Amino acid sequence: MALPNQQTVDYPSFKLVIVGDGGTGKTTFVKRHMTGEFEKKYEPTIGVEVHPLDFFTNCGKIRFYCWDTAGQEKFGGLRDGYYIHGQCAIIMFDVTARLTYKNVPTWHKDLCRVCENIPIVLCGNKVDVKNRQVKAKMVTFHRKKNLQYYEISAKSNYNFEKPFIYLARKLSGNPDLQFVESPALAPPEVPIDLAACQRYEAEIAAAAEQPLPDDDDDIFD
Amino acid sequence: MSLYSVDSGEVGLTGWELHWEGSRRFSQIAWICLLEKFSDVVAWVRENSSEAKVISTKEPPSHDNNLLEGTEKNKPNEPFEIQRGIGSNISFGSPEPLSHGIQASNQLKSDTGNDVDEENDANRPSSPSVKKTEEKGIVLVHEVRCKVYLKPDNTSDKSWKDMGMGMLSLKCKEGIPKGTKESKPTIIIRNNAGKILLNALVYPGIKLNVQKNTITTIFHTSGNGDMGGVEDKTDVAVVPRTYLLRTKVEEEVKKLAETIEECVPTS
Repeated sequence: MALPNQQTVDYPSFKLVIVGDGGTGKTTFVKRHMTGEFEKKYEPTIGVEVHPLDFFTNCGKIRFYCWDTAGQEKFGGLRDGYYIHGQCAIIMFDVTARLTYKNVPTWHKDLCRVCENIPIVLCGNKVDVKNRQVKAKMVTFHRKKNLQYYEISAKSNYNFEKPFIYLARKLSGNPDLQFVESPALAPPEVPIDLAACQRYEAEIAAAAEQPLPDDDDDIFD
Repeated sequence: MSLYSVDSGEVGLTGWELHWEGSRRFSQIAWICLLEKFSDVVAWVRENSSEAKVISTKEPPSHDNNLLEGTEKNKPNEPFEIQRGIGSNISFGSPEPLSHGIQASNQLKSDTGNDVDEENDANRPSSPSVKKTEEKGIVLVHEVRCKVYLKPDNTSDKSWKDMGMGMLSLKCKEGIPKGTKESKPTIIIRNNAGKILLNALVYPGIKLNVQKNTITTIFHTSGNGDMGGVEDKTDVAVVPRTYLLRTKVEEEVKKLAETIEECVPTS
């Protein structure tokens, strides 16, 4: 399901549609997987952005073409026009905003109208936030529709790989599928002279003077 | 952890049963879809536990939705065999590894979703979704979970960029004395999806600035610190970048710093 300007690959690739209300964290979630980075700024997605995401599994490499769709109605673009030929999906809501959960059935209905019988993961994002409005107990929609549900946090990385591993298992039909460590190249060797050493020392000292990153409740386990 | 407590389904079925039933059903649905839409996408690789690997593929792969080929690049030392056959080796939701007294006769008794992967994970500590690769000739000197921050290249932005959480491994070559250049002391940090957040050598004269539960230091990495969402980016300039690593508690950072210091090549 590659776009015309995207390279096709010789391993399985699947179109993954990501939907959900604006501001629930779809783009941040995808970006976290793309670059590792957590983006704090909110810039609404216009229409759709497609990003290929590769994973290494014990069954070989797999690619998801992530169709990160606009959540905000006014930027919706083709809306369900983006869903066509979707092979799997993520519906995202924000556990700190009740309305985003209330809208999940609408997203689901629209999605299923275009893509019948595809594996879908429901994700309650931002579970790192203390004052959540949608408690785990209140999330029941997935049961009626036989979806997988995960509580995730794109910020703290909690469960952030789970939706992909679940979808990969469903699409492959292999419940034993696991991620494996992606191949690591030999790290670059850089000769260091005394001058570089001193420069580094100064840079580190300067960096260390910056305030430490927020020591919020990251989940290390 | 009540914050993250997840409903684990209805009464009647245990987590495993639900998981298995759900998996089976979804597999079938997924399979039907695949058969219809991608008649050429077929058997995925079946892995027989951890030893001998049997990889089944179907030929010819004539579509861009190819088979997951069991390249197994990570484990060149393990024997594996590629079996080619037409669909004969397909298997779904094989219950073997879930042999907790589950019977295939367990029909779906409720419409409950299969939100019970949590239990599944209980058996795989620390890094549940990623299977570790053992490397021959490499010693794992130290391991700790940490969060990775990167100082932005653009100097006007002073705040640290959050690059994610991962498992840090400090590795050296086997049989070579510690603290030598030849031992190639390497720090690799991987996230829960197995992707690399940092891959760098410990170099002579490296400075570690320890503050509370953090280490600030400079590593040489290629690319833009990007873990390569898609392709490995080769041919990119290697640049020194300032990283900050944070562990859960101060002791862990102390121990990490000490261990790194022990590995620093003296020449």
